Parts: sequence; structure tokens; C-alpha cells
Amino acid sequence: MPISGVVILIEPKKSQKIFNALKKTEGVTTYGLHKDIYIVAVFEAKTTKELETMSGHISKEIDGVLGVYPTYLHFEDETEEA
Amino acid sequence: MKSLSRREFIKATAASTAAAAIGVSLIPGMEKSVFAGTTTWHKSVCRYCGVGCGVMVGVKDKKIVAVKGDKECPTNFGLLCVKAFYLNRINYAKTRLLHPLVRKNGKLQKASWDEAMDLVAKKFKKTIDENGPDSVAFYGSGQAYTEETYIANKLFKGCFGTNNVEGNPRLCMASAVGGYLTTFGGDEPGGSYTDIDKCDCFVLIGSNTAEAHPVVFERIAKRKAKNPNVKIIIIDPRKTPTNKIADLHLKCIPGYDLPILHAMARLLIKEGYADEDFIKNHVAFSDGKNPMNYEQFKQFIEEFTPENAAKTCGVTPSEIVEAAKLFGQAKTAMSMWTMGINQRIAGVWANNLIHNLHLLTGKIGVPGSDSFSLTGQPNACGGVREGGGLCHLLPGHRSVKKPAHREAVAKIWGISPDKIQPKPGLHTMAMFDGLAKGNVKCIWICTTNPAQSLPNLNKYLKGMEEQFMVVAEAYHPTMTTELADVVLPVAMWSEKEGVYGCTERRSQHLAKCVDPPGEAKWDGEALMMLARRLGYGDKFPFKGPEDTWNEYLTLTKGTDMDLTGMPYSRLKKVRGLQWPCPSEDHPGTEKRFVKGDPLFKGEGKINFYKKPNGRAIVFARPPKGPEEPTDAQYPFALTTGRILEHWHTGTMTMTVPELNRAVPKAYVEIHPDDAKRLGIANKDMVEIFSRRGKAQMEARVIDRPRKGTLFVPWHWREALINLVTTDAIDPGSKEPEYKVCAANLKKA
Ligand code: SF4
Repeated sequence: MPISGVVILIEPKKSQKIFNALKKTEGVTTYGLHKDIYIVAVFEAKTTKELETMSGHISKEIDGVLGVYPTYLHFEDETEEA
Repeated sequence: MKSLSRREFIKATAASTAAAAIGVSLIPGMEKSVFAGTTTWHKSVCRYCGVGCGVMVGVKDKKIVAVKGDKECPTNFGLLCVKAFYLNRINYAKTRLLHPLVRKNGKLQKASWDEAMDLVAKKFKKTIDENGPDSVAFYGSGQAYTEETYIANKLFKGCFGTNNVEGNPRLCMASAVGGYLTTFGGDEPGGSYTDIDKCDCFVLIGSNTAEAHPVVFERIAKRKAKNPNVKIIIIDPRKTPTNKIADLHLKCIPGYDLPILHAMARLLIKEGYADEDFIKNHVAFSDGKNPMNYEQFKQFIEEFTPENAAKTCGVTPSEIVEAAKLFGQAKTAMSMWTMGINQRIAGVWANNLIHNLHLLTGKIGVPGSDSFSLTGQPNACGGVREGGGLCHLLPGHRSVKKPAHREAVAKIWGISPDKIQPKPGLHTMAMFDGLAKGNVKCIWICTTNPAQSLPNLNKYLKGMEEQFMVVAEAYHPTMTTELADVVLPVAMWSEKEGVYGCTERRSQHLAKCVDPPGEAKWDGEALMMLARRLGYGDKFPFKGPEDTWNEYLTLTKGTDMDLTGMPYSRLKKVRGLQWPCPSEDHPGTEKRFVKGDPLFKGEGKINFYKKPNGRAIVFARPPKGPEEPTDAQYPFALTTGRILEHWHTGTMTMTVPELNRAVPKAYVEIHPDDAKRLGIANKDMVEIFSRRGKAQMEARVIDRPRKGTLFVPWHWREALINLVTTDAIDPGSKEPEYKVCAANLKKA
């Protein structure tokens, strides 16, 4: 099951709304707002497909999100099926 | 820590690593302790784009099990984009080629390396013997490692005696090269990514930075978020995700942006934003043929009033005035561009006009200012531009035309200087035209997919099918391997070591982390097998990439791109070094042409030392539109490009099911007004056609392209948009005009 640590770059004024939207997104755990512009989060999913869908949804659909930047991806359990 | 489950442990690690990338410590030390003892981490670079993000590759039980951004790497500080997310999956794709294939009775069949290479050697030898060396060619890639391009260059130019050596950077970066050479006398930007952190005004022209260079976009967006007075100007026919941070968008007609740049230059001078001292001391003027003076240049641009320019370009005069004002008022400014500028018949000229803005205002050579071309591929700069992997170049920014350059290279290569032809070989489009016409009879293609990526493909596919084609590739099938006579399985990213050179003149070492699968070999070894079979083995005593790199370094000594201070032993430790770097104790050069650059001479604040008089040139280039303007029959301007989830012809990204499913189908973006007029609804199947060919895909009715413009991402083989695009080329750079052609569409 892939797990990814990501940094979400946001417009500072929209942080609360973004947090609310992230809370509703299954598989996302947030680790706070940092330096006014970054939300640290972990994405968990059953497959990398879900992980990607999550990432695409957040960057394209949540207003105020400027980009989603993965920093770490663990896919040990997936390597076999790839 | 013991109470954490394995999954919780991985989650905590992931969160800590993300936090560490932005300089925050969530759980102190956590990101460092990731699977200590079980996972080995190797330093590498992302395989996809020219940003050159540093990655750490985690290996366990001889398999890549994790990837993380390299926090120490100054190109990305640990951040990656969604493509790197799936880096390891390209190694384990089901379409990896595990053994050579040779065409027998019309079908590609499994063969041994010896059988395949004997056949290749026989064909190359016979062709050269019977038709001369210019009947063979090499077509390489900005994704190949520098060492591989170096070996190919030496074999073809130095041993076979043909300059028919090209690479796909011709299709994306050649106009940028032409722009840097004509304006500054030397290729590649003077500045660095660090300029972004001090820049007050960004001009993003012909670049969807958010999707094509995401980590650079993050750095720009961060700069703006922290400093709201920072301004972002976009000049592009299309609204893209980059617009999220824009202050001003000049949505020009595709191919008609040159007058905007002239009009901006005119306003900058008229309204007192020009740096007259800088112009007096560091700038010369030219109309492209003859020198001119400042007054003559002013007369030349006088006709480019905002009103006149606006009429041609499809923007408003006030937008041009605003753009000039923002650029002029900012203390520092950076222009960044990519294919929207380069892939044009006026690509070099457009590059010149961007440089003009910086030279007229002195916004160059100081922290926060630069005229900074963004590179498309991870090693277009390093391997092909610097390594001399184009038909007119030799390693170390040398030219085949110059006797002294041929002599210097021949000496290191151990050959007679006469062996290197003084005439450039065939550029990419001429090379594939040569195949189509039968003048080029044998070609070796390395790590690229021209049967999908060339423009106006109908003209070239037959030649690729008919002539003898060897394709060294990690995957099969691709559109090119399907046409090949011999396909050689080669090692991928992380299965071999080597060096990549990214946009900011930074060379970085990529470690070998795992063994290649099956019988796949290093590309360099495959080329040397050919060399040995044709009697040139003594010229290639390399045991591997490091020996090859060492020989290449000797060819850069004393040049403007001196890499002497970058042996593997050093590159393996540091996060890349920027040239010139003439000795092992030199820190590398963040800014060229100024104090700190080891080649800087004189007392002034800047010296464009690649020009004989130290002055960069401001060009009075006449406006030039696209080769094929729209007309009644073909009323749409078709433009093509990349999207975030895919990369180029999809050879790598399409092998990752997740990326494929994320944006699964080929589509064309069409403006709602155009769609309404033609009765096209969202998701209707449409046919796009031009004078050259047609392609079918889904319509995406969206307010992104300007009216009268169609945008098609070019990643899908089922909807080959390159059957429709034009192969008209810039006369200087020989780069094709992928970005504009006249087309029409109808419901399929
Ligand atoms: S920005 Fe480019 S180099 Fe960086 S992770 Fe994305 S694709 Fe790779």
C-alpha cells in the first residue's frame, strides 16, 4: 500500500477552507500549516492510482491550492505487482 | 518508537520527510532514520524534465522500494512533482525489453547480443564502404547520459567520419541555443535558480511552468506568496494552471508575440526604464546582418507602438503598457520560456528579443535578474548541448567548422583532424528526410521515439521503415521500435551511472542503484560493441561511464564550460556543480560574466567575454509570424504541448498505469465560443485536420485556449497529432514549428 509524504503549496488567505476540504478527502492526514504557505500531509491509498487521483483532485479542484509536491514515496509492497 | 505499527512508522517518516523539505522538524531525526539498516539510499536525479531535481533512491533486496526528494539538493530542496512520484515504476514496467530483437521475415524476433551486433556491424560497414560515411547517422536524446552521447559522438564523428549526429534537443532547445549564441556569444543561461528567490518580476513566456517545470513553479509561487509585491506576467495563447499566480496575462495569437517584445522594449526606453549606463558600456546593436547604433535601434522599434503591436498580436495596448511598466519598475526581473518560444520558425529571433529586454534595462548579471531558458529534458544541456551531440558541434561548446576546434578534439580522440568533417552534418529534420529519400541508409537511435515525436510524420515514417534502423531502448513496443530492424535492450535510470546537466549549468551524478533486468546493457557498451566490430576498439578503452567522463573532462579544460573540477569522486559527494568549474577546489559558478566567474575579466560590473568586444547584442529583428497562418480553409491555430501527468511520447509515463488512467484519453481543448459555433459538445469525438494529416480525439470544451486556437497534448499514439503538425523549421536553429500550424476540425 503506497504512502506518500507531500507538501501542499497554498495561497495563505485560503488556508482554512483548504484544511476543511482536505479533511473531507479520504486518505489524507494533515500535519499542520507551516510558514503560512505549506501544508504538510500524508496520502495513503490502496493503490498508486488512488494516490494519484487524490493528488490530482487536490491540486486541480481545491481552490487556493497552487501545487502538490511529493517528497517521499514508499511503494515497497507495490513493487511486486508493478 | 516501538509502539508504532509499521504503517504508522512509514507515515511518520513520510510526514517528517515532507516537513524537512520545507525546513520544518516534525519529529526530530525521523526522516533520517528511515529503515536504517534495511534500505540503502543512493543519490540520483529525476529522469524526467530539465529542472534536474535531486532524488534519493531507496533500495532493499536489490529492488527500488522508495524514492524521496533530496533535501540537500539546491535545485529542489527535497520537493518533487507528480511524475517523480512514479519514478521507480518505469524500471519495473511490463514493457521492459529484456533481450535483443532482430527482424527476421518481417517480424522482430528474440536474438542474442552477438547475433544482433554482428548484423548491425555488417550493415554499417557495408553501407559506409559502399556509400561513404554520410550514409549513416546517429540520433540521440536529452535523456541519455552525457557519457553515452560522448561515445556516440566520438564513434560517428571521429571514427566513421560523419557529422550526422543529432539528438532530440534539436526539437526543443535549438532555438534557445541560437538565441544565447547570437546575443551573448555562448550557450546556456548566465544565472541560476537562486535568482528566483530574489526576483521581483517574472515574465513567463511560452511556458506552462506549473505543468512542465513544476518544481521551478513552486519556487516562483513561494517567492510571490512571501512577497506579494512580486509580479508575474504571462505571455501565452492559453490559460494554464500557471495562471493561478499571474498578475497579468497577455493571451496573444499563437506565433505573433514578437511585436509585443519590441513594443515592451520601446516603452522601456521611452519611459526611462532603460539602464543607459549599462547600454553604453556593455551592449552593441545589430540588425542581424550589420551593426547599428542605439539611435538606429530606437528608430527601428518606433513603429512598435502598443496599438500597432496589439493589433497584430491579439492583445490590448493597455496590457502591453502594463507589462512594460511592471518589468521596468521591478528592481529585478527574470524571463523564463520554453517550447512556446523555441518551437517556432522565428524561435531564435524570439529568444533574441527576450534577451533584449534584459540588456536594455541592465536586468542581467545581478542577483534576481536573468534571461533564463527552461530546458525540457534532464540532460539536453549536459549531454547534447555541452557534449556536442548535434551535427554542427563538438564536445566542450566547440564547432566542427573551426579548424582549431577539430584539432583539439582530434588530439584527445587520437585521430587525424582530417577525420572530422568541417561541414555540419544533417540536422534532425534533414536526417529523417535523408532516411525517407534513401540518402541515409543506416541509423542508430538511442532513447527516443521519433516515429511519434517528429512533426508532419506522414513524410518520415516510410523512411524509418525502409532503411536499416537500430533502436537502443528500454521498452518495447514503442512506435519507433516497431519499425526497427534491430532493437537493443538497454539499462534505464538507476540501472547505470552517469551524469546529467540541467537548466542551470549544474552537472549531477546519478548512481547505479540496481542491476538492469534481463540482458539489458549500458548504452555506452552497446555503442562500443559496434566500435570494436568495426575496428575502432582501441579508441574506446573505457571500462565504464567514469572512464568516459574523465576523457570528456579533458576536452572541457580551458573552455567556457570547464568541467575539470568535477571528477566522479567529487560529483558523488556534492549535489552537482555549476560550470565553469576549472579545478577541484573551485566551488562552481552561480553567475556567469560577473565577478566570481573564473573567466570574468576586467573591472566593469559585467563582461560578456564570449563576444569579441565583451558586449552582448541587442537585435533589431523584424516581426515574423508563423509559417502557416490561418485561412478560410484552416481557420484554427493548432498548438501542442505537455501536461503534468505525462511526458513527451509517453514511452515512460504510459507504462505507469496510474499516470495513464489519470489523463487517459487524447483530447483537444477548444474554446466554448468556437465549440458552440461548430455544434461541438464537451466529450464529442472530433477530427482535427491540416494540409498534412488528421487525428481523432475527444473535444474538451474549456475556456483555456484563446478563441480560434486548439490545444492538443501530444502524448498519445492513438491520436497522433504529429500527423497534423508542420515540419517548417527556423532557418537558424533548424527547430520545427510544433507550436503553430493552421488546422480545422469537425465532428468525427
Ligand atoms: S520538476 Fe522535473 S525534475 Fe523535478 S521532479 Fe518533476 S519531472 Fe522530475
